[in-house]
Amino acid sequence: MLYFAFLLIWYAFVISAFMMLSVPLIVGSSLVFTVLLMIVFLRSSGYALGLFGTGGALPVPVPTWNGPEEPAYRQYLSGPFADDLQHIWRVCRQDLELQAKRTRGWVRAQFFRPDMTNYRRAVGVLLATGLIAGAGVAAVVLAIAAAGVVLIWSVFFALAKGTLYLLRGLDAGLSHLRGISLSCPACHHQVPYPAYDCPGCGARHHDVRPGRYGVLRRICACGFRMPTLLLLGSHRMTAFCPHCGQPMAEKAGVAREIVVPMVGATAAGKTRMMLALATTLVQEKPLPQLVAQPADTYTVDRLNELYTSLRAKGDTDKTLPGDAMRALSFNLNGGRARRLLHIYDPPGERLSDSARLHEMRFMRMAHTFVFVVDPLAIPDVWHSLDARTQQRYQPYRSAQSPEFIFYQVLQNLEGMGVKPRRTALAVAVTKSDLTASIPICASAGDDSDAVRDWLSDRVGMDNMVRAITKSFGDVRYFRTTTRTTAADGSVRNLLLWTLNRYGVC
Amino acid sequence: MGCADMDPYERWRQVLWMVSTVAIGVLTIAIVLTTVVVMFFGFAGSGSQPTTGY
Repeated sequence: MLYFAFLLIWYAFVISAFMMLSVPLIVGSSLVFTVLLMIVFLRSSGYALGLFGTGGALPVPVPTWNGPEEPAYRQYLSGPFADDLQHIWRVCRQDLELQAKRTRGWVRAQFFRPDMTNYRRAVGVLLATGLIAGAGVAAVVLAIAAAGVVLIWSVFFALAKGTLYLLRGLDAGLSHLRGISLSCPACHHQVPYPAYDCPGCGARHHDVRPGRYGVLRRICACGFRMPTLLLLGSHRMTAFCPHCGQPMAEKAGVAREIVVPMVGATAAGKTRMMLALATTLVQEKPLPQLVAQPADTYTVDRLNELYTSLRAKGDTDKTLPGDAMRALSFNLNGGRARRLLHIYDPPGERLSDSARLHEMRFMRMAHTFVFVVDPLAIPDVWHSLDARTQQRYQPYRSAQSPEFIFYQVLQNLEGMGVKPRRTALAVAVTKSDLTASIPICASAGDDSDAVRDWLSDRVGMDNMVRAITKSFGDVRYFRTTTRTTAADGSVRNLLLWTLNRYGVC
Repeated sequence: MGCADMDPYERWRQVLWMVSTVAIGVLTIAIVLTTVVVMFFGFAGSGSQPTTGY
């Protein structure tokens, strides 16, 4: 009886002690296990992100140069971030499972071996309960943290997207406000945004604007950080036309473009006129504050070629119909603004061929045309010469009448959707050095009205002059010579009148 | 396609880990402290509850 009473008291004591210890034991073990799992998670995630050595991080693939993708690393938020999260999940799940297995083994070894007493087993049950609770708490903490990280990523992603479109809009808006548009001097397409070669490795990036490869900067496959917008300095890199792949003018996209096509018959003197304009612009500085520089290597090479030909043969080579119609481009600095000037010299054969004239997309971008009139091709002038003089001048004479070419160009301009009324025309009656001794040309003065009256009243070009006056918004007549290398005052006047229309002087 | 010698995402990964660490650390410390405080005051309070007289 006494033994049973003692046993009852003993079990009451044990149960009381057990009850008193159970809560702190469960809570304590769950907290310790939670902290342990968190430490495991942080260590494993750091390893998975390559912060504690290079072996654990997801390898970063090198972008290819010739694939459909751009040769640049994708921006972290648009792809690699999600890959990293998945990688962290895989690595951490393995490590957490391993830690759980180890702890389970430890609990079994310490409390549930066959030779152990029931008291020890009871403590083991309490500890195991605490560990299970701790695992649950850790799972909740990790879920909350993961949700927080995903939320932060979503916010960053939305911000990045917003910034991306804002920057694109800002860049395009500022260019629009400043009247800047881009055109390729080689294929004459309007270019929304040029392609760029990486200054580090030369890889071609077709669209550097903010996007999946970067918002403010993109990292080329070689590691070079490229600016994504003209605003941020992308114009300092070499630009290429995305249509034809040809290099565009230096600083394309930061200055308003001036497109000036030379139109006129074959052998009317368009190339010489273009060379005279270039010479006046670059070498003779028509305005003290105006600095003009060739804007690409093509222009430098082409000018050298023309000068060489002029020195060797006394004349420039004829522009052939098959020649690439690339503009001579010049960066104009100083004066009131910066401009990029493109002067086109299409072969006369193309101007007289409607089908081919349509290929000249630059005509649509021009606001001023230079119409080169060969006075020797005017029938009244030619017929006023005696046979001997005609024979002497025949090599310098263009075959087609200025009137024919003018109507051809006008008709096709209208067909291309150009409104000539909104454009200006500089009519340059050239070869004044050759015609100075011809009596019918003696009355042609130098100012605009005198040249117009001479064309209209003296040499029978009245129909053409009327059509010019009726069709174009602003017209000015010039009598020029481009026979000598040094450009004369008339070319300077023509150049200044043209540039003045674009606010350069 | 090979793998890059450089890690262009190094800084982003550091930031991600730091943000996770701070979030998890704060949550864990908050849970531990809250539990300890509740336990302490729970046990301490249970012995000194005022009686109603009934």
